[in-house]
Amino acid sequence: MKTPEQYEESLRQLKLKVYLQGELVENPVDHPVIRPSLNSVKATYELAQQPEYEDLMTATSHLTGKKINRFCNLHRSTEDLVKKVKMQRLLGQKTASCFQRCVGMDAINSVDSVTFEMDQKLGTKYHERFTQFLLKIQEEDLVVDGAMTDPKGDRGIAPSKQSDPDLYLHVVEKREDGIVVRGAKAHQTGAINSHWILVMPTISMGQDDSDYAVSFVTPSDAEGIYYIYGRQSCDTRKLEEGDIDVGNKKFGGHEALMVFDNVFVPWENVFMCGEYEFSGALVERFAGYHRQSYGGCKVGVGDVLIGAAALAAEYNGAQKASHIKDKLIEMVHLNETLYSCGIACSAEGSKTASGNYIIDLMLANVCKQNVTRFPYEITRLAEDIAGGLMVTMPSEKDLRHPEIGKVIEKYFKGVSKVPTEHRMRILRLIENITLGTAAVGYRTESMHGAGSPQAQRIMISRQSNMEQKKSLAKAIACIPTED
Amino acid sequence: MTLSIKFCGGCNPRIDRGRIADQIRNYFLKYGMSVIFNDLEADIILYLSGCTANCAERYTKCDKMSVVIAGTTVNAIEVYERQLSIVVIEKITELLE
Repeated sequence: MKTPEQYEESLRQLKLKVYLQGELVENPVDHPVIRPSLNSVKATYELAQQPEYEDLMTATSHLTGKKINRFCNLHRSTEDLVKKVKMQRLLGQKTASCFQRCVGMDAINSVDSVTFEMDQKLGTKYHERFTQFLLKIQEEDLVVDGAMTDPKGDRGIAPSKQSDPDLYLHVVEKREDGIVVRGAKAHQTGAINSHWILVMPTISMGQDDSDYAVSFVTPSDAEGIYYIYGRQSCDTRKLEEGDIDVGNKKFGGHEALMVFDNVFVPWENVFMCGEYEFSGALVERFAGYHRQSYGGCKVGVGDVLIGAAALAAEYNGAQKASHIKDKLIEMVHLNETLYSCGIACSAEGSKTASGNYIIDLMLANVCKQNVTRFPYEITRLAEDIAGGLMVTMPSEKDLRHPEIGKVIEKYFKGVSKVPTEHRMRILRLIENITLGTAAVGYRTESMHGAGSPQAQRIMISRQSNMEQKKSLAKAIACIPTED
Repeated sequence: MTLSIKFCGGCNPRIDRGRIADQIRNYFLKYGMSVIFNDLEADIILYLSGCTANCAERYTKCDKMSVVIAGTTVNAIEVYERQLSIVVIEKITELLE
């Protein structure tokens, strides 16, 4: 396994083409806007080195028998699925951010079972190629970005019918040695902190769209790939001096638009090319795993937010008020409900034909459907407890001013034994998670990441087993079954 | 004699596992015992889980002598957190005798 230092150094060796605020970034690793997101991924390496987190952060490779980072692991049991969720909760707690590496883990698990089944039915050789890639990432402890979401253009028409054919990533040329692809993948979490990109189709494709039914891996700095970094609320605070106003100085997340400008992919890296009948399964399984993930990562961030809200109440001297206690209870209740869903869909997982385990799809979609709602209520309650000062207080620069700093300390003190600076710090952390850079991960990503709310409702409807429920009701109501 | 301290993954600990592990480790090192982490090749296993889910022991199949900390319990008996190390040291000492 890599050390965190080796991971950082490995990113410095990449020749990524990244645009941020209209400029080509020479050194993404040390750029102050990007650096916090790197630190979050680096935490996945740091914790894996520590004995007290080893059980969650590492696993045993079923290919080699060696200890590997769990983010490179294929789930071989329900125990693995449960530990995955617990690992994600742990990382959410330690970083209070989107730590990005889970998309790749969910991608490799879904590609594994789908390529196996494709080969069985169609006689293709994709699974063997994928397994070689998996061996590489396990041996070298690499970060994989799972790239699914296309920009999509007009959502009302199919990929091949779009006015611009590049609005969904597609194959533009097939050669003897590989394929050439063109298009883009949007909202790519952690792409700039990744070594490899694993591309998957974003929707179930039909025969007319077979050029869009493509899955492959490519190095993140391959010729023809470039990134346009996504803005986040309060992002330019990272360019300021000091560490209070950002709320979370060390950690963060990022998303980027990843453009594929006629990128060549050798056949050995291609895992689907035109087998459109399997595109739906790949989308469904990746979405399922990723919806499970949110029952871990968002819960961990929620733990931090709840702790921050409790501290804010203490620093205000309001912690004994019954409504404050009840609001904190409600936050914990909602947070643990999300966790319950993550654990439930894991515990009810089952073995696929390839031997790797998949979550219970119904419960994973229930998990994510709840994640589209509960963080919003948890943040609302956190803001309620924090009070308006969270969004009106002066800057750190003002606090450090030789004259007005004393005025700020005087008027923004809560309870006498707590320094004003501590009160400001905890309020800035709440601000960071509820409407700052981390709100990208905790709120809007909770809404749309791994599929928007309607996507889960469609899956819940499909999995609802309604006929069986109707027959249960008929039996109790003594209605003949042939009715 | 070798003692192995097997941690859970620490996703939501109710106790300070690291501190408790250090206290127990330091005690037995003074008496010449070898103390390792997360390895079942030992004479005695101390399963150290941060909560009653007991993940350190739950997924482990091992028939060695053991003591189990799961949150604020030792071998399923409730103990004050500040007494966890002392109680565990007593239990391990009993197993050694």
